[in-house]
Amino acid sequence: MIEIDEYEMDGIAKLLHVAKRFADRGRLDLLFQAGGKDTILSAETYWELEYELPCLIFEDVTVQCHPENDRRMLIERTAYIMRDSILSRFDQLCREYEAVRGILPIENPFASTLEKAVSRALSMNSYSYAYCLYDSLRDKKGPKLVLTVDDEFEAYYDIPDALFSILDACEDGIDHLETELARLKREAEENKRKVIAFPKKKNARRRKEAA
Amino acid sequence: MALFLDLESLASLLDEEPETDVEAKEQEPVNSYLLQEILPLLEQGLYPRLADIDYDEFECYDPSVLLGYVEEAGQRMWNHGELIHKIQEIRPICRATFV
Repeated sequence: MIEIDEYEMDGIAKLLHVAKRFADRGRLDLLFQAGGKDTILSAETYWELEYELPCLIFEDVTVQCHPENDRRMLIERTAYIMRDSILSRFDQLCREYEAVRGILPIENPFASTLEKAVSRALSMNSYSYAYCLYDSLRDKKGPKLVLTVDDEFEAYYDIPDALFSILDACEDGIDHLETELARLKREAEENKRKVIAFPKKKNARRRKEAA
Repeated sequence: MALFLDLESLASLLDEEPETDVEAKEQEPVNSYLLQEILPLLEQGLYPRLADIDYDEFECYDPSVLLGYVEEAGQRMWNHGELIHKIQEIRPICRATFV
């Protein structure tokens, strides 16, 4: 019997956690895209996949590494810039909703619901990370989620499930927005039918004749 | 030839052992599929494919819970082994031959 040391068991436990999360959502295929179908449950597999985990969920992910020179030490910071068509669709509907209602983005309840969902999802079991959700008003290329991690960040295994939750929240928001926009449109059309036209002005001759 | 064990030595040895092993809280159970199917393979140096694991058989554990369980289970086994080893070292007080 081989004794599994703490370091190896840690990697195995994290990989099992990640695989279970993907499997629960029926998306093990995404994990296999990164590691291959013959990926084995081992610590080496986890350490190889770890930095790629944030790239597996959203459709378009750009990774930027920023070495920072602190006078005392070299700190590496990695930014994952994530875009997805579901997030774009949600953003598009939000803009439409704000235009119909005549409200500012900050007054949009659906946008604030998504912000809260992002905040809940990205409360991870580590420190040394930050995130920001940008809508299309702040980035011409479209809405994006930016996750920045330092080299002391340890909860990469929490990221996939967090990102799945955010996309779920977007889909939920899309359903509600489409329903609400349809309702507003129907209301507007009903209001149009109720409008009574002002009587046309009689011309001067007819007024004279009437007099 | 019969061997007799000194019960007084045994009792004093057991008295010296920390009580935590006997009175310790029962460990939070970890799923039996992980304990009986996955961990034994890993202990033999065999690494199952992720595609072959039955994910419906267990719930999602925080990695620290699984790691903590394996570490504590290992520590308890080691403690038991040490206790048994010490008991085996107790010399018999006398030997008697029955005719």
